[in-house]
Amino acid sequence: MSDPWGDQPWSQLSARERLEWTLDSARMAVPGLVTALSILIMALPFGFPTQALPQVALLGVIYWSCTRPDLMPPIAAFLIGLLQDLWLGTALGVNAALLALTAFLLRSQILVFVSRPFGFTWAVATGFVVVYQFLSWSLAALADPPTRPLVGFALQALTSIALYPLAAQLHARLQRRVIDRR
Amino acid sequence: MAIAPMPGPRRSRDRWLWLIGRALLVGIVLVSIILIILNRTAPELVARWRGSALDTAKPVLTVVSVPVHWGSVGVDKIRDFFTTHRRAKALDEENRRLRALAERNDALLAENAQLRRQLGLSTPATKSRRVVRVVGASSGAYVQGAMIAAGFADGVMVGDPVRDEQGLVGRVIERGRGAARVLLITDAASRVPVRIARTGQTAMIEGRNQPLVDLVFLPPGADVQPGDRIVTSGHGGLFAPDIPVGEVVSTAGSVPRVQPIAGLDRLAFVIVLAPYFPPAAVLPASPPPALIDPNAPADPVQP
Repeated sequence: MSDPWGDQPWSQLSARERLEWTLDSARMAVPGLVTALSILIMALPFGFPTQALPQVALLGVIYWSCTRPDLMPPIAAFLIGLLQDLWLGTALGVNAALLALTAFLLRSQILVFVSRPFGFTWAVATGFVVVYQFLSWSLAALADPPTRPLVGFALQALTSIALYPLAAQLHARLQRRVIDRR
Repeated sequence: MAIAPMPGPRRSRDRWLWLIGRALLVGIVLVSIILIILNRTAPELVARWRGSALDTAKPVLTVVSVPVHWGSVGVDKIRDFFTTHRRAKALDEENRRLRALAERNDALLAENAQLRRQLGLSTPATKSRRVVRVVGASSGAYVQGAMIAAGFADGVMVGDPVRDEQGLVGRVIERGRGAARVLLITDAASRVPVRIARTGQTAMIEGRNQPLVDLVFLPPGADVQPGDRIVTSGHGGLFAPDIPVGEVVSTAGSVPRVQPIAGLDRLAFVIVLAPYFPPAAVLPASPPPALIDPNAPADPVQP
């Protein structure tokens, strides 16, 4: 990303340039905002057993942490997780902590993902989803008894893994249209 | 010869960024741990935060849930199209049976009302607060809930029982100004005192985060058969007696399983009820206004 205005001091920019610069910077918040809003997909009253709905926010965090970790810092992932806990009624702090850790672990290994096929990222995502679901099951049992049946969490892991290619494609489209647009 | 790292401004800036990043991460972990502990130590506080958060999600969900409802209605219509003939036959059969039952029911109702009058039996009336649109569900393996578009601004209270036109749905656990969350009877944290309609045997239903719920706390050798209707018992005072809950579908396992009668997977509108028997009055936290009224005479006996 090159800065079109170089090191122009803010005071020397015209009002129009300032507006353009602000809007341009605001685009960088889009990945976080879209991932946060995608939580609401999980809150829609679908007409089928909703137990197995995928963890769409987790998928978003995984995608952005593997491709543009600068746009998904752990603090953003933490806030997204907090919103998920509040909106969906899960034990407060569970998704917040786990999403932040996911973002941190993936961004620290970002070089691993350079010029790898999609299958590799999918495999890594699979590992993360499985561990994530297990940890959220155990943490939920600790934070807010009674212990929930593990089978529901396993089912949710399966649908999340199955949906990852679609979620990645949607986020990639967003990246091309909004973030990489010049 | 070893080259000493250049202590340039770039390098020190990166170092600072790295340090801030680590400090932030440690902060995040600490805050998360505190939040997780708060679930256990201050559940009311967490419920209040959740209630406020519901209000922020409500506008989006209210708009988006409408086409989703249309979608599920459409799926129902398609299914109806293919099963109409079979269902019409079954309904004819049921109708014949029910007509006979209805005649007997009328006679029994009249007799029951007369006996109640003679005994002077007092039963609290069931009050419904309002009919509310369901705008969201809590999916996931963790909680089985629904979000409704009414909160304390509409008189909805935490603990209010919720039903649909067919039977019991659950109860309100969190509320915001214009939205509230309902814990469904299928949630693993839900317990409802019930009665087997045929025998009068009391028991509890316990959610499992699955479509069916368990019928527990039955005495050994209790008479339960598939097809038995389960209704609320009224014990505990929250749920009024005789709200339909479900039907026993299996007695094969270690505990009988009950299929809830309410359409929990396609709720569109629900009825929020007032608790059957209002919770016992707790001592007020602050003295009643009359006692601290500054204009009130110091001694009420004086004129």
